[in-house]
Order: sequence, then structure tokens, then C-alpha cells
Amino acid sequence: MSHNKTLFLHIGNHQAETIPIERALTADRPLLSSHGLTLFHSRSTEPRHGRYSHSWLTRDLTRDPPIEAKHGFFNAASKADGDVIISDEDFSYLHTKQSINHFVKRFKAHFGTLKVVAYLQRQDMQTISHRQQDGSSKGYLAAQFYGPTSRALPAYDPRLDQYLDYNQRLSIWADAVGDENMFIRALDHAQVDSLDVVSDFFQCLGIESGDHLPATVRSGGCTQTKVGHLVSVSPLSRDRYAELALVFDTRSQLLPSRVDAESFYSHYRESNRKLNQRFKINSNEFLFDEDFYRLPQTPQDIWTEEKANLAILKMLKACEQRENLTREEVTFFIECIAKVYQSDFRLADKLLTLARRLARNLDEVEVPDRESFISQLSIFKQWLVRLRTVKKGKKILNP
Amino acid sequence: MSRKFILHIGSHKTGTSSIQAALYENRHHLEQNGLSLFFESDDGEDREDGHPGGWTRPFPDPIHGATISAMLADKIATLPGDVIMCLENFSWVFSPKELTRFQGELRKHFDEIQIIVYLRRQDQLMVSHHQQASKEWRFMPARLFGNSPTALPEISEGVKLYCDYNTRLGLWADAFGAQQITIRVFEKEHLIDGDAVKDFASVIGHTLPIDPGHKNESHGFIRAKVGHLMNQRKYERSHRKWLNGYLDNSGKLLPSRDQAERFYAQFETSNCELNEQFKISEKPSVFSTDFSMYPNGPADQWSEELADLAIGNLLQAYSYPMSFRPADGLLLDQMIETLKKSHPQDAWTLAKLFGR
Repeated sequence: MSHNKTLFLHIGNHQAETIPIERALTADRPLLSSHGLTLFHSRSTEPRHGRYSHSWLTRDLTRDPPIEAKHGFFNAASKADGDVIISDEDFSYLHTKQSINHFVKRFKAHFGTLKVVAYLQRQDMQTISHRQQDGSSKGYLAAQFYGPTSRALPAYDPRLDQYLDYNQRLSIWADAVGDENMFIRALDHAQVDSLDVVSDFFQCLGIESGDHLPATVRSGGCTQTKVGHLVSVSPLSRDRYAELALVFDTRSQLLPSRVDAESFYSHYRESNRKLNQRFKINSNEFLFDEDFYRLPQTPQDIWTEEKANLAILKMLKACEQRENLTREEVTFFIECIAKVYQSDFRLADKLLTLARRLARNLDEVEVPDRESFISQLSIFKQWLVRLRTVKKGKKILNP
Repeated sequence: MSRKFILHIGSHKTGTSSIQAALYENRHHLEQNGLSLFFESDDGEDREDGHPGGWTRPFPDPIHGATISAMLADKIATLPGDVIMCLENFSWVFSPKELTRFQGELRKHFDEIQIIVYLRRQDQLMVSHHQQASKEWRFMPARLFGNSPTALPEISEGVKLYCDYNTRLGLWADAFGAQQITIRVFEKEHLIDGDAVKDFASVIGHTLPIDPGHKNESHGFIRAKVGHLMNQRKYERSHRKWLNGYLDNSGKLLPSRDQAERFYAQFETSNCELNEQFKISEKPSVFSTDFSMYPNGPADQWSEELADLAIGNLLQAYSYPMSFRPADGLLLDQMIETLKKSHPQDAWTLAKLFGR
């Protein structure tokens, strides 16, 4: 452990200018190095845009903690030269005292000082942009977090406080690292275009930045975002989601009405005031500007007849390209059924029916009959299966 | 001895499937009473539902309607005594030439020909017919009426050809003689006991004691709307069957009262003219003018909830390979869980394979 080393941990929020920051950090690595700083990134040699510590963390929002470090993460980070910067907005999903303290404790074992950097957006704007991420795994996680609504803003649910109650979440970090080590900025949407977040971040590191690369935030379009929100209630895997997201338009934006946004934001107003009171972030009483004029008066996040038909036509096109299982895949499925017979013959019986259906249109795939699976079991298991089958009133042997 | 041929020509969606099934169930009883049922399909098959398929074929351009097989009249004549045939697809015949030819061929074998037709108010007929069209793009209604994902199709040339009863039945009257046409109104108050089968039995002067109660399975709101969109993409049957397994089938596509009235108004004059000629009903335009069965606003447009549900259904289907049914997902999860304990590598491969 080197108590002289400092770790700058950038914890997001998502879509709060993270991409420009990370691009600038990547581009300005020589500059960082000349100031005794190293950007810690993935296991690969070159950091990939937007995924700086990606391969070191596991993410599963259905678990607690939702973010976990893989073996060797803390050790590898500590071995980087000089002071270290880690940037990963998924740290924003950490919300319990236990999980945050765990990370802080492990970091502190290697670093003398831990500085936490957080950029915040007003909760309605944060949610709108967070939910509008594209079909990447980050978009998938956001869909999981906000749940099954295809509107721009979900209905308020106390569960959302885990992320959006900034006072609660950042206070846990502050209690663990000390208020003096918290660097919190509120992004004001009225001024966001003029605010140079990258320079701001570099100042926090104690240096002037070089030339910044332009920001290109990958937001999904209205249809892509609406469909994307529905994946949280479907059994769709991440890979399939990413594949599907490509078919939708990425132009128009999904926006709530002013009234809906104000109502959503109102749940966090008081908490924002407390946060600003503690950390003295800016002069706004409630931390953010409370102007909603950028949002439309009527909601632009609901299906119109045309939008819904178009989205369904695109989905139909994607489904048309969905292929049947190959001969090898069905053969593997059948081999697995033989293994299921070892422990649960009733389940295996049902799977056998499914296998016959899957093999129906495939040449050269023969589905063995039930008896041939059972005959592969030990004598005792065979006896057991036959006994239980008779009890159930079924025939012992297939014809 | 003189021979009579009775031909029921539809229309579609006026209980023809039930009538065909009742005739088929009673074919031996009818035969004993001197009336043979013609139910064979053009490929020689007995479909066991009384539907004699394949004798009419659509022209390549559906706007020309359908043609009648040149062999049909001779085939019908091979049956003994009087003959009865029920085939609603005769409603697709719009060509006077076809009808005149068919009449000439029948005349060689039969002394008397009776044409029976059931008519349903055009808006009700088209709501039902258009819903049926959502099942398959190759179906004649989909080709002729279009694939708009709404309760009623747009008024088009094809819709007019079918729904202008005065013009369409005028063609049959010209070919067979107006006095040979029996027109019945498919409305409860006009049908004997409010039942199409009983009414038809009384028209032909026979009893059809068994009514198998056959009903076409109709599509619900989402299945019908997505079905029309599948038609637009000329969806293959295998894909359609797979997706239908996931699509919600509740509710019904309905136009607003106002839309239905406006649709019907297009054909009211034609109905009046038909009634003047055939004296079908005491109502001037043949049908009841009650539209209270429709909602005030349209019930054929996506709401937020229904669009979400439809897309959710499609996402679920997209999660699995084709030939997977909704319940199979649970089975697959159980399989993976079971294998995790004994064969973790296989469980992992299986999960990857099925995108779990």
C-alpha cells in the first residue's frame, strides 16, 4: 500500500457528460502522465471508449450489491503509476452503505486518499437521458433499473430513490471518504452548452486539459427507447437486445410533458436542497435550475398509430430473420435431455416432446424414444423411474 | 325427370361454415330425401367440413375476382337427383362472362337452378371480413380489401365490387334470371329463430336437425392488427403461426359508430335499389339502421397499453428460436437449473444457445 497515492474515482452519473470526460482522459494520457496521473482502464492494452473499467466489474441489478469487482481489480489499480483515475458511471448503481463502504475500504487499502467525483443532472433530465441510451449493455441495465414503461419518465417509485436521491447516495460516499474528498457538480441544463465539463473535471485533477474531442453521446431514438424500455419484462438477453436495437430509428427524442417532468422532479426537490446545504455545491436553493421550458407542453413519449405500426413492422422484420435451431444445436439439446433424465425424468419427458417439435423440420436429426434414454440409467434409477411411471398411470415403455 | 340444383353463394361471414357443416352432417338424410350434397373439393378430397374447396380460383389481379372451374358443372351433375352446393367463394365472381358460362354448363344437366344468397349489412360484414383477412396475406379479402391495420378497410374499388350488392347480384340475376335468386337478410330478426342454419333449412324445404355449432375462430385486437401488418410484409405461414402463439388475442377491432355509419352510407342507395327489384325487406335500404353496437370513439387504434403489450409479446417471441412456444421458456429454465447442478458447462452452453 502506498499512502501517498491518490485515487480519483469518477462515479457518473450516467449520461452526465461522461463520454466527453472519458474521451478527453484517453486522448490526454501523455498530459496526465506528465502530472503523475494514470488512467486505469480495462485489461486490454488500449481503453475502449466508454468502457474504462468495464471488464473489471460485474453488473447485475437484480442482485445486492449490483456492482462487484472481479478478482485482482483493486490490486491492479494500485499498481498503476502515480495517482490513479478510474471512471465508471456504473458506480452510480451502488446505493447501500454496505456496498459503498466495501469499495471504499478496498480502495483505501491501496490508496492514501480517495476522491470521489460526481456530476449530477436534475432528476427528470437525468432519467430521460439515462433511459435513452442505445442498445448497448448500459442501455440494457437502464431498462432493467427503470422497469417496464415505455414512457420518457416512469411513474415515481421509491425504488428509484436508490439512484435519484443524490443526497442519500452521495452522503454514504461522503461519510466513507470525508466531505473534503467529494467533488460534486450540478449540471445546469440552461447552461450545459456553455459549461466545459471536461475542463472542470481536469481542474479537479489539478491540471489544465488539452484539446478535447467532440462529444457524441449515443442516445437511442424515440422508438428504440420505447421498445428498449419494454425489454425489462421480456426474457430477451443482452445480445439479442443489442441486435434488435439496430433496426429502430434513432432520430426523434422521447420527451415527457413539462407537467410530468415537474411532478417527477418534485419527489427529489427537498433531498437536493439538503445535498446543497451539506456540500455547498452552488447558490441554487434546490441545487438545480427549476426551469422546464425546454420540455414540450404536451407529451412526446406516447405511441401514435403511425409510430406503433412502424415499430411493429420493424419488429416483424427482425422476427422474420430469427432462425430456427440448427441440426447441431438440436442434437446438443437432445444430449442434454439424456443428462436431465439422470435427475428429473418428469422434466425430461416434457423436454423430449419439445425436442421432437424442434427436430420436426430438420433432416438427419433423430429423437430417440423415451425407453432408450431410460435404458441408459443405472438399474436402480431405471427401477425408480418405472415404479413412479406406473404410479402415475403411464405406460412403462414407449411403443 | 326434372332435376334441380340449389346453389348457396354466400356471402362470406353470414354463417356459411355452420351451414356447410350442417349440410355435411345431414348429407345421408338429405340423400334419402332426394337431395345430394356436393362437398367434394377439386382435388377429389372430402375435407369433412362440407366445404367444397378449390372450385373457384382468383384471377392474378384480384380486382377481376375469381373464375369458376370449367369442370364444376359436369362434376356436380354426376350426383344423383337434385343437388345442393354451398360455397361462399362464389361471392368473388364479378365477371358476367363467367356467370353466363357457368349457367350454360349447369343448364345442360339441370332443369331448375336456385341461387340463395345471404346478405349482411356492409359495415358489419366488412368488420368481420377484414378481421378474417388479417390471418393470411394470400387470402382473397387481404388481396382485394388491403391490409390496413384498422377495423374497417378503406373504401376501394375492391370493397365496392363486393359490397355493392345491387350490382353484384344483378350479375347473377342477369345470368340465371331474377326469379331464380333468393335473397335472405343476415340479421337476427329476419332469420328463422335468429339462426342461419335453421333459416337455410327452411329455404331449401328440408330439415337439418344437427347444428354442430361451428364457429370460425376470430382474431382479437392485437392479433388482428399485427396480422394486417404481417400481411403487409407478406409473412410466411410458419412465422405467423409462431408469432400468433405469443400475441394477445383478447378484445376486438371495432370502428367508431360514426365511421361505421359513414362506411355503410356508401352502399345505402345501392341497397334501396336492390330492395326495389327483389322486395327483400320492409326497410327501404334492406337492413336495420341501428349502429348502437359500436363504440362512440374508434376501438381500432393503438393505445399506449395495447401498443406496449403487442411489442412486449413480440419481444418475448424474439427471445426464442422459431418453433418455441411461450410455455417452453419455463421448461428451458428448469432444464438449465437442473443441469447447473450436475453439468454446469452444458447448462452454460444451453443458456448461451437460447439467449438466457
